[in-house]
Amino acid sequence: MSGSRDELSDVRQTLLGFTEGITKTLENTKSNLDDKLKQLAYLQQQLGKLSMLGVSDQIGVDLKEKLASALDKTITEANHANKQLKEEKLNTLSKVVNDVESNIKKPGSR
Amino acid sequence: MTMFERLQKPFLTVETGEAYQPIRLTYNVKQKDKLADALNSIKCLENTGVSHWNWYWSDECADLHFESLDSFKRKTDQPSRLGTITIMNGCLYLNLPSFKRACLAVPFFHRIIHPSVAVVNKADFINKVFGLSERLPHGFTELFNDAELDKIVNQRVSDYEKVQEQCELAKTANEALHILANYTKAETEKRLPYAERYSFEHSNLAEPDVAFLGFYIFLRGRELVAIRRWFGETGYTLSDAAEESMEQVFGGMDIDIIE
Repeated sequence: MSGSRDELSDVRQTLLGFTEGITKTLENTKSNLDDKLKQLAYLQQQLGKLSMLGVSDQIGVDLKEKLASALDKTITEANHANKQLKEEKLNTLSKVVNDVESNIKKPGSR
Repeated sequence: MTMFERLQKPFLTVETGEAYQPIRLTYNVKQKDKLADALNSIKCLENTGVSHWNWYWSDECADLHFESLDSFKRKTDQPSRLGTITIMNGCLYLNLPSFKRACLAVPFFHRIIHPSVAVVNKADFINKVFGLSERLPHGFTELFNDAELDKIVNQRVSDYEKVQEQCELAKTANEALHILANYTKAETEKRLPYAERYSFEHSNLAEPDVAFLGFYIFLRGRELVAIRRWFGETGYTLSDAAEESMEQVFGGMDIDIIE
């Protein structure tokens, strides 16, 4: 009986060892994959810069489309901010014109 | 104009909302007679004189989409003029007031004018936006010096070819990437010239919208730089534009790029 308990304990230890080993391998693989992904993203960033410089056009179509759309989004936001600024300027100007007009209309004003 | 004044001043925009930045596309004309016939058969073009046409936002190009402003209301009876076309000295010139219009024009005209009749060769443009009351350039001849623009393009290509060679000779992939990264950092952090040229390379393989994506990225990256600099970020460079945009792309994928 005790022999089989020892055997069970051995099996459990072995299994634990396996599990730890597998977990460690998975962690290493994940970390390697993360590194590779970062390296790939960094390389793509360099290719994106080359694309903006106009000297090379080697990034994939998918990334090109995403990059073009990101630029569109940022520029559109800037265009909207610009439009708002224009409207504010116009409102200020209208207010000044109104003030001047109402002063002119005041009886006794020159 | 002082920086303080600039910070408070909006930049000049075209009707569809994007920044006013003059750009001229040059096409090499291969069959002049066929080209004139082709242009006269396009409904969104109006012949306004000898070898001169206006390009309107209607008919064949009515579907072109400008994201620049949501609020822009189109008048169907009075379509907006997007640009002008002139044929002169064996070339077709398409003059446009914004980069976005140029980006939409290239694939559009590529579809309707066969490359055996005329083919886009280069784009000359200004790397700045203008103030509402700023003096605007009169015509493109005042702006562009052909020899100077060619010199800038050739220098850039020649520098890149040297870097390519160094990458090929590198002992490891990491070393090659290091060389490339040093080059992109140095080049994208340079201040952009006032006027610049883009030279088109042609491939028959891709669909026009895809084939000209390189041009799109090249041009709109510069537009972003011009806008940011107008609003006071005087140190903003192409490098910042690339990193900001890439961050949007990879940020969405939860990838943190560590240089």
